[in-house]
Amino acid sequence: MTLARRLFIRSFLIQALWNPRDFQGSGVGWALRETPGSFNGHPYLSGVALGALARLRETPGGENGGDLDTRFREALRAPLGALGDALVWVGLLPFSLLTASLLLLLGLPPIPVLMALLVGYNGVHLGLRAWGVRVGLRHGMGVGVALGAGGIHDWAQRLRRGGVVLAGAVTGVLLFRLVQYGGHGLEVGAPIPAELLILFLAVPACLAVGLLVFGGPRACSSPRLRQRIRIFPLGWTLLILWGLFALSFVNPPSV
Amino acid sequence: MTLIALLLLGGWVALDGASVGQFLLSRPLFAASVAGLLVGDPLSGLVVGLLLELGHLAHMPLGGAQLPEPGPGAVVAGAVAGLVGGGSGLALGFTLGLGLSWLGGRTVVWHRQATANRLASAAGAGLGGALGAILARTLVWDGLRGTALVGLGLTLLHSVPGEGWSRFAQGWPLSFEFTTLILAFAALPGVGEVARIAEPHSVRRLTLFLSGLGVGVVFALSIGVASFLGGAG
Repeated sequence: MTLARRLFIRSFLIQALWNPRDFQGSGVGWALRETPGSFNGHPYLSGVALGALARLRETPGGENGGDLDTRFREALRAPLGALGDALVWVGLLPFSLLTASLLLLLGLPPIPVLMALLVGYNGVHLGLRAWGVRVGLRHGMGVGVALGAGGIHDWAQRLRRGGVVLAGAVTGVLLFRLVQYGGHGLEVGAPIPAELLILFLAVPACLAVGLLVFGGPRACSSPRLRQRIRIFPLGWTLLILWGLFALSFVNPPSV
Repeated sequence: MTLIALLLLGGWVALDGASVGQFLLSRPLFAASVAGLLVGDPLSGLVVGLLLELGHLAHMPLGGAQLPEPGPGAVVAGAVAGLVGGGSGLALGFTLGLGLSWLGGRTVVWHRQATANRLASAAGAGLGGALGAILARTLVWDGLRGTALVGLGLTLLHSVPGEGWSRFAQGWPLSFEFTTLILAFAALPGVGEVARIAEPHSVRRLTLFLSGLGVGVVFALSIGVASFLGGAG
């Protein structure tokens, strides 16, 4: 098995040894068959680190645990993490899942939608891992320049902006259906008007979405406050729904 | 047989969540759909998976943040939604799925601490070739963790006798479609948070989001909405 192929395959498991002591370091150590040192980065771009470190071992002074090795790991850590987070966790993942969610909400057949999601997402995922190993092995210590020139930043930005449009589209489809329920008296199932339930349950959720999306840079700048804004409608809805259920369970409607 | 398949699925999604590959199979959309399929009601599994997905979208592992783990909870949610059925199954599955994903997140922290301890004690004896053995043991424990979470959720479900569930299903005050819509709105702020994280510039975010909102309404008008939202599709 070639070195590139071995590193590509082992990159799928380096996250298994993630721990608060050396983060991905033990996983990287296992993949390179050497004594682990501290390291962290994005799992999909771990191939970049594996390839670059393997190449570093061929450089004079680049032995495992040496000064150059430690400084190189430190230098690689932040850009790999930031690039992977922007491209995958904030870009590709929400973009893919929101696309699939939108198509499902519009009534498209689930099996083709889910299969397309799985194949499309993992096509990019596997491509990134393979590209990472190749770039790392080719450029070694100069991998930072190669990462900057790869056009990843542009793709990350496109995916993130696409994700915002898709978030709006998902909200639009749900709002459209909500207005239909409220305006046309569609079947709700309960002896309670749909308008009342919408007022008490969906309106707070809409306000929370509005606050999160339209709030300026100063409004909701704290992640903790944003988390509370996000969780409140969830807790409130479950409380009301289970409360309604308890009422109808204790006092069942007469037939 | 179904029980074994669900437990194995729980183990697999726990591994896929972080340890092995992260191929998207641990996302609620897949995990709950497969669980629904296993218990014979793929639609309920898909719907509860979609709802949990909207709720979990904002949980991004940025900067090593400690997050809920959606996979095993979604397996239980899909199975419960399918087994209980109707709006009640959906609400129960959604609630259990959220609770178990929180618990799952806590167990991930314990699991990683245990991995650190295992590595530290092996380092004392010279780590060398022990990494492979520790990796194998860690994978087994991670899989068992997912299986145990699914087992816990299914034990809660089976602790109520069958007639209890049929009374429960009859007592639910809302239709399946309206329950889906209301729970989707409850989960929707997660989508708003995604928009906020993805585009820090507020004017651009507003423009993009509103454009998408318009597109969504036009799509819903021209294509229609899914049958699980009460549409004809």
